[in-house]
Amino acid sequence: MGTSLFKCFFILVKLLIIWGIVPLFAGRVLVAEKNSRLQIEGWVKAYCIGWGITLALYEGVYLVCFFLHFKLNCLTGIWGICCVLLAIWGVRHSFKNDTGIRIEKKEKEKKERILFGAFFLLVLLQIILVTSATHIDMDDALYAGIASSTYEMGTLFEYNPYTGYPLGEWVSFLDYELSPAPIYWATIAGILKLHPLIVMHTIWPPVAILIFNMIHFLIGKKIWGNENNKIYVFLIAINVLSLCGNYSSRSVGAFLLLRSWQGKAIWYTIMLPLFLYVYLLWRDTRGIREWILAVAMVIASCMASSSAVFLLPIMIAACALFDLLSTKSISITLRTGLFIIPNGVILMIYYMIRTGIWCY
Amino acid sequence: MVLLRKTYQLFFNNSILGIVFVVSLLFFWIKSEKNRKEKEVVGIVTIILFCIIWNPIFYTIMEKTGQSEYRWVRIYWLLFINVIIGIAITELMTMIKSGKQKIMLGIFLLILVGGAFGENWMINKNNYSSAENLYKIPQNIIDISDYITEDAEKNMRNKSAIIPQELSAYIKMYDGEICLPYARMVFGEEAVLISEILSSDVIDVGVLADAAKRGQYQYIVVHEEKILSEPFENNGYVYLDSVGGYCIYRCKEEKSEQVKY
Repeated sequence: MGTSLFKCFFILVKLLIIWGIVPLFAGRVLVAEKNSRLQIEGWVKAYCIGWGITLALYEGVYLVCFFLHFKLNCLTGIWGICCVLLAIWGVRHSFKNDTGIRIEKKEKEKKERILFGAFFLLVLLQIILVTSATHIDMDDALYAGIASSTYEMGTLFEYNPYTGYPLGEWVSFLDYELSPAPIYWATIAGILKLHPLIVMHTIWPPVAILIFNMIHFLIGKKIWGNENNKIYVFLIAINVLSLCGNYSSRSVGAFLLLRSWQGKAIWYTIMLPLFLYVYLLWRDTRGIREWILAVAMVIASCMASSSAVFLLPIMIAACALFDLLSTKSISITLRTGLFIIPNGVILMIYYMIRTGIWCY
Repeated sequence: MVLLRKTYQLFFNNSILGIVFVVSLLFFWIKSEKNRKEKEVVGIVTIILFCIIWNPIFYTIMEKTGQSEYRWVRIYWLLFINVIIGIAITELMTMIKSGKQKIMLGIFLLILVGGAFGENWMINKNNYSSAENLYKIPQNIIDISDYITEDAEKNMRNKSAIIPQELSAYIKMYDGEICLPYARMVFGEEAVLISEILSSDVIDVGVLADAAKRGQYQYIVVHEEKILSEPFENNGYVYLDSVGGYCIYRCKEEKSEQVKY
């Protein structure tokens, strides 16, 4: 009893570090404003962006490890060290810029309290749902299969996740080999010393709901500023729409509430809105920091799903066209268009492997 | 244009949400007072809608290059449907001053997006069942897999098994080491043969055991209710136990190499 309690506590501490403290401070490296009092929005912004940065970092480290045939332990170690170093940098950056831990306390009006209560209940309902109930999704045969075989064999795409036999060539699972979301679960499972299925099916879904709401809170904040009532109405609407997503197996609700651990779900429900938010930040400042953030979000999207590799260029093209129409500036349009660089690199690798230019 | 119709149907599945989305978008363009950030989000979505999704040239190219609707339906993800509808609902709600009217509008919108009989509601028996364990897979999968693992370790056997298709995908989710002839989908002549025998009411033990020996599978798992044409013991496999509604047999002789199907 005592041992299992200690084990649970230890897992919670590790979880708090890898999905809490590390993203929060990794985000602060690029998000912390100089000499500004940090409000709740700043924390949420740092956390969400930091979360994207850790995924982008994962894609970079993974690709190197994959092509050099490194083992999972090696990937986990390098990525873990990079994340911790980034977080330490974030901590130093926070104190240096005098943006310490201060959350602005403001009395909520009655109406605002009611709206916040409704929003909180909706989120709680979804969290209880995804934690206590099971949804069987047959796509998991591949996603969870890759995660489990990577976790147990300790190698990156050397065994067929369906049959367990050695894979002779790269092309068999190329979409996943370049967008390693299932390997990410094996990494997290390795750190937590838990089976990947527990991480994917039980631990991640409530975290996904929280991050999803944080990102939409940021989008709401960007649109309405300090009009909190409007932001809460927006968040309530977003959550009701998620809960009413049964019209299609491809709706946001279906992905968020039924299979949030799958790479395409991470991209669609989390990374895509996060990219939109970062693009809105980029439109405000046109600074190098926001440009780097946007490119990091593109890399993180490519890490989550191969769909992002093919579809995000369309989104980026639309953003560039919108910039051209609204600013009439070729330079800004080009800089927005350059968000596409990571997609270009991954597509080139994809093409080289598919056509046999680059062989195993 | 067939691809356009197919992707629309695949995404919205004849629900009213597609219309709600277009009305929401129109609402922003008609609205006199516009928020700058709203304009930006709506502007990007409108560009995607007109340049890609409603662009016949794009679909003609996609159709000519043989793109499947199942891949291109994901283009709808770029429309941020929930965000656009969410912003429209928020603006509409704040435009109305009377509390009663707001409640009425809220109920109307809930019926609109949730379906008249709640058919769009995610929480239903088709989507969810109560979790049997933290892994969130059927418990008998875990029991069978653990049993094979334990026995293989005790008897120095390879973890390779022939398992009915209804179990095989789950087993690979839980056990990354086990070797199977197939998982979710069945490929290859031998794998198809094994799958067909295991799914038939009467199991042809002789043919199944021969196929298992050719593939050097150490374990065979058969549903308890299946009728066996003859005992497995006559064909080189020994009965171990019945676990989670399935009988587990092990090869009498140890073989170390496996054949790849």
